[in-house]
Order: sequence, then structure tokens, then C-alpha cells
Amino acid sequence: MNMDDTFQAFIIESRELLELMEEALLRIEQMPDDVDTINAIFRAAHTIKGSAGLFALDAIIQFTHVAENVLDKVRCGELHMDKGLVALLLDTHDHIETLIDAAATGSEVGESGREIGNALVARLESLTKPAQRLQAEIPLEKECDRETMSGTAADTDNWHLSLRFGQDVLRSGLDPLSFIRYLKTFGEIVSIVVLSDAIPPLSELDPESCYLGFEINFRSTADKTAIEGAFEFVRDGSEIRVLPPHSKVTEYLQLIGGMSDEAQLLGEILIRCGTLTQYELDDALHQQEVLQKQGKPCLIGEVLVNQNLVSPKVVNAALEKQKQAKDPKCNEASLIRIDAAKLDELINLVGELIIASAGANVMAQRVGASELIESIAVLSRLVEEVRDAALNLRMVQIGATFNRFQRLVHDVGKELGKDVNLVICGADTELDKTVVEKISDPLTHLIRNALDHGIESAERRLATGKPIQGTLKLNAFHDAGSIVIEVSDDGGGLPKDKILGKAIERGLITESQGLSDTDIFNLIFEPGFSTADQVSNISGRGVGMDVVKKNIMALRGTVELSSKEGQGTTVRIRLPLTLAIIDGFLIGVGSSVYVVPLDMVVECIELPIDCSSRDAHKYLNLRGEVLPFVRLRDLFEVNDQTVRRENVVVVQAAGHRAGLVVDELMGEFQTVIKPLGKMFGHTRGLGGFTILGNGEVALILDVQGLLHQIVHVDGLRHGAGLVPAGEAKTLRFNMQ
Amino acid sequence: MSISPNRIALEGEVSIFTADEIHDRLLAVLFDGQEVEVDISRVSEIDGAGLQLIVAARHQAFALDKTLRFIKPSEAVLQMLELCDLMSLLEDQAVTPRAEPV
Repeated sequence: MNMDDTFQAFIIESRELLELMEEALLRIEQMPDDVDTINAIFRAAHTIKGSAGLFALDAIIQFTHVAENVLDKVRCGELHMDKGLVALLLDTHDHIETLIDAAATGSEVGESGREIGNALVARLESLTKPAQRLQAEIPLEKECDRETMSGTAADTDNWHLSLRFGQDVLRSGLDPLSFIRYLKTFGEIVSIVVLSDAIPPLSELDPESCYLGFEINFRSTADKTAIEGAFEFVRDGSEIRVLPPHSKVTEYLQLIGGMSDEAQLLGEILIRCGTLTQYELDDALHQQEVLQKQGKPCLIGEVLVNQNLVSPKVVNAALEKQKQAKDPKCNEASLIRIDAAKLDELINLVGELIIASAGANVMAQRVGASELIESIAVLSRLVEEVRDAALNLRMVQIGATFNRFQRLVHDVGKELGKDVNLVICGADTELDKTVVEKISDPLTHLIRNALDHGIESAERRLATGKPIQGTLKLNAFHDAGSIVIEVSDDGGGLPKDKILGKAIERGLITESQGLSDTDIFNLIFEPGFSTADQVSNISGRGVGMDVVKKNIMALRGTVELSSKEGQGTTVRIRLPLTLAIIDGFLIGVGSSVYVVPLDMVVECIELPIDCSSRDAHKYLNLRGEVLPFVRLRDLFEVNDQTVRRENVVVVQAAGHRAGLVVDELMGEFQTVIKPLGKMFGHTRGLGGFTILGNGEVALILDVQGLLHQIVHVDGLRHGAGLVPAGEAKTLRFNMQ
Repeated sequence: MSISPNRIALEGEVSIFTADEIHDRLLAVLFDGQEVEVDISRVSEIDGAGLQLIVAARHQAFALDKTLRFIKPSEAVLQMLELCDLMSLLEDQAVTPRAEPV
């Protein structure tokens, strides 16, 4: 791994940590005394600082350091995590993010950014300074005493060497003792302790392996390089640590933590070496006790590393240790990062595989060799499994997306003066990565809307007997091959009368229309519709809901709304699990084959004779309902011979319904969607193409676009309204 | 070489080159007798491998609840022990039991 990779890893890790930090900060508002959460925040800041040290990102180190000091106070219980502090820390978090972003692009933070940073530093420092003064004034408070101690230098003029010789040192012909003797040539070994406990009893001893470890208090005028140089030959596989005179106590702690789990013992050894005084050690171990008292037993190494400031000198060691502490977590998830493009490539190949196997299937059927058919069947099943597995790779949990809204809810709530709690359910529900990415914007809109219009002001809530704190719920679950995402609030609900009034005012409906509740609610998805009395800067400008709907439709999803006045509103988004593969319905026109997404097909009927003449009107009577239809033959200008009996595929999307007149119904087909080339990018009514088993190309119809064309263009010309969906009972032919 | 079941002498080099053999001898003698004396008066040279053998032997003796004594240390051994501040190894069962992890 070269430095660039490492740096990228640092950026990615930092961003993840920042996310964790944000999450924890938002959580802490609910439970301000949760030790785990406070520690999580601290660790995030601490690790970022530590890692930044590796790359000499001074701006980040300095800023995080100040933040860390404050967090440390919180951890010791000297500062209380209140709303103000959380807000400050959130700002701090944002600024770290700015700094990381700047570092990622290799640029400097701009003037305004620096000002923000300075202001934050001032605010953060104002929190730590008075607390420190307090310590000075109250010497009885031991905790504070110790706190300052850990930052001071240990009272020794000598070097401290920690040597753990690698297993193979003896085998490679080196004698650990000769290194000790060599040390004596340029300094004085004040004291030395052999870590005899690390040597196993004779029966377990491999006499040729080296078990030796030494702690040495060394007085010398040589510099660090010279001392470290003495051990150059054994560096590999051995742990050699050299602490200069007057090292910070924390660095010794680092040593204790890093070298052995038997911290107490090692601590004592340090005392025996005269490197640390008993007092200093007590000091070091104190913080561990504090944590243990809080019911959180920790390895001392972890505690010490996490709790204390680390100078750049030991940042390497610190990083190592932190990695170890984090490793169990990583192992649990055991994740690897993959370039999304590689995944796409794989999915694409799997798509080809499906096509090829379908082709093989067709050929086998044609040849009629039963053995061949059998083996092809096995192959097809495997291919299907491979497809599912490959698609699964793209699946990500929606939780991360949901969690991002914690901040939004927090900030918007604050802006509006509303206390809102975001409840997240089904965070582990998985869906396609591309869908996740695209759903974020519509969800943001919906959440803003719910916060602004949905949840009432505190007074109003109180007056109606609701808890002052509003609840916004994000829920996700799988349902019949699609994922359902719900955004619900316990607010005032949608004012039906108001919506009706607005709709009539805007001429969207006429008063006489008897609309169901659902229809009325769906009106808010019409472009430019807003019932808000006031336009706030959060929402209410009437752009939003229609955009939301458009975005979701673009994902082949649907959105519906249910609301009870006074009790709240739920917006339910239904999305396909993946965008790459759909269940298609094959239809034939002339010699061409088209694919309609199966979930948009409502039913298939035979075209009544009275409609079949070419010049006839373009509506048919579907059980007493007017159904506009279009001939694909005309639409795509297919000039092949017409068939005697034409069929109508009734499709429905976005609440509109229309018929597509086709020659032939060919049944279901699993379709891998391939995008059309740029040249056809603007072709209306086509969503992509796919390759059939026999190698033929079939165009995938963009039903939404077609419907739009049929209903609006034709509809307007002929003065017919849209056909409201959901009234006629549907009847679907089983095509298999 | 052993003079009696509970007494052996180490001679010459006690180092990585002889560690294997000495390891076996020490182990054998420790399992044999309740009281073991190891004469190290004629050890001419001792290195880190030798040092850890001595320590390991003491651990073993402690584990088996036996008495192990290294007697009549040679100059080379003394120098080594002095270097490592381990003169206590020459005392009877001076090696403390392994500390319980805190």
C-alpha cells in the first residue's frame, strides 16, 4: 500500500468516523449520560486526530485536539452534555468534515472556513479553560489533579527502553544479551528488569525460540536514533520502544497499554526500573478504574490509548492499538470495499449470462434432446442463483441513509422550534445501491415536509393533548419483491378541506367530482400544489411533492399517502428492489418484440371488433369505463402484415391507465435492462432494451412516458379526462 | 553425565547451540528428583538462550513444587546475571509465581 492509498483510506475512514460521531451526537441528546455514546464521540475525534498526525495535517490535528479536550471533560463528568454543547459539537463535527474535505482535495480551507474554525476553537476552549482553573482552586478533587498529571512529564532524566525480542532472534544467531551489553558501551543501565514471566516453564519452552523481554532505565547522552540504531538488526519481529527522558506520563501509559495485557505487572516493572514513580503509575491506572466503576471493564491498553493525548511521536503505535481495538468490529462485519464500477461490470456480465443461458435453453428446446434440456435446466438454475447473488452484492442496508436524516430532523426541528424525535425502523432492510442513492432526495423532501407541515407547534400539540415531542418515523420493509419505505409523523394530518379548496381554486378538479380520500391526498402530488399558509424556507413553496413523485416514478416506484386529520400522515413509497433486472411481459407487434414491465400490466383483453378498424376512435369500453388506447403498430410504425385478432394490454402507471394494442401476447420474461445508446436518449416511450434468448433485440417500453403521451396528448385533444385507476376490478390472465 | 539423579552439571557453552540438549537434560532431571541441584561452575559462556533456560527451569520447578538450585555459578554466569539484574535466580526458588493478569 503506498502513501496515496493510505491517504485515501484515511479520508474514507475519517468520513466514516464523522458519520459515527454525528450519529452519536444526535443520540446523546436523547440520553445525555450514556457512557458508550460519549466514548464513541470521543473515539471518533481521537482517531481522526491520531490518523491525521500520520499525514501531518496540522489544521486537523490542532482543531480536533481542542475538541478532544472538551470531550475528555465530558467523559470525566466535568462537563455536562447539554443541548448547547451538542449543538457546538455538531458544528465542530461539521468543521472537521470541512477540514477533511479540504485535505482530500489537497487544498486549504478558505478564509470563511478558517474564521468558523477559529470561532469554534474559541468556544471550545472557553469550555475547557474555566474547568482547568477550577481544578487548581480545588486541590482536594483528586480526579482533576490526576487529569493534569497525565499531561505532565514523568520525573526522570533517563531514557526508557522497552524491548521484546522476536521469536526468531536466537535462531538467526543474535543474542539479546549482546544488545544489552552494547547499550552499556554508550550509556549506563540504571536498572533492568527481565520479563521472566513471559518465559514459559521448561516443558513448554522451545529452547531455540526467544522469549526474552526487557524493561531498561537507561542513562545516556546519545540521541534517539543512536539508541534505536543499536537494535537495528532485530527490528523485524521484535518490539523495540524507546521513550526519551521526560516523556509524558501518557506515553508511558501508551507503553503499558501497548506492550502487555498484564498492565499492572508492567506498571510495577516500570516502577522497579525507576522510570515511573508509584504516584505516576497510580495516576495512569486511575482512569481505568473510573471506567470500570462505570461498569465498563476495559483492557487497560484500550483505555489508556483512547483516553490520553498522543504526541505525533507515538502516533504510529497509537494507530496500531486502535486498529486492534476496532478489529473485532471489523471482523464482525468483515466488509470489503469494492469499486461500484466493478460491481456494475459483474452485474452486466451476469445479465449477459442470463441472456446466453436463455438462448441455450431455446436452442435445446428446438433440438429436443432431453439430456441437453436437462443439463441446460441445471445451468439455468445456477445462472439464476448467480444472478441473485450478484444482485445481492449491490444490496446495501437502508440504515445509513436513514441515519443521515437524524441530523436533518435535528437541524430543521431546531430551526422551526419543534422538538421532534426521529424513530428508525427496519434499518437493516436491504435494497439496491442505486436505489438507495436516488431515494435520498425524495426522502429529504418528505421529511422536511413532515417537519414543517406535519408536526404541529409545541403549543398546538399541548392543546390537543399530544406529547410535546413530535415523532417522525422512518420505516422500511420488504413486501412482495419490492421495498416499502414509510415516512410517518404524528402531526396534524392533511387538511382535506383545504386541499380540496386549493385544488378547486387551481382548477385541478371541479367541485362536483366525488373524490375518495386517497384521491384528495394524491392531489398534493400535483405540480405547484401547496396548502401551506406561509411559505417557509423549509418547504411550502409547492415544489416538492410533485418532484418527489417524479423521482420515485423514475425509479419505477409508487408513492401513496394516507392521513388522518389530527393524528398524522404516512407517506408510503414502494420501490423495486433493483433497477437492473425486471420481470418483463413480452408482446409482439409484427415481427418486433417489446417488453412491458410486468408490474405495470393490469390485464390483457382481446380488442373488441368494433374498435379494430384502423380509423376507429381510440377508446374502448372496459366494463363501462373509458380506456384510451394506442396501437403500438402505429406508434412505432411497424409495417408488417396485420393480424386478425389484436390484443390490448392494459397498463397502469402513476394512477393513469391505458391500453396498448399489440398483435401477440408472449408471456413473462425475466429481462435484463440495458440502457439505450446516447443517440436514442431522447426517444420517448422507450426505456431501454434487452436481448432475448434467441438473440433478438427487444425494446423495453417506458410505460410512464407512453401513458403520458396517450393520456395527455390524446386526452387533451379529445377532451377526455384521465382514467382514475383503482376503481375497476382487475383481472389478469395467467400467461403461462 | 549426571552425578546423581538430583544433580547435574552444565559445562562449557550454555547457548543457543546447546540449548536443545540442555533443555532435555534439565527437564529430565526435574521430573526425576524432588530436589535438584544444577552445578554451573564450569559454564564458560552463557547467552540469552541460556538465560531463558534457567528462568524456564525455575518456572517448571515452581509448577511441580520442587526445589531447584543453581549452584557454584561461574564467572560467565555471574556476569550475565549481573547484567540482567537477576542475581535472585541463584536464590532458592526466587522466581515469583506468575502474576495473575489484572
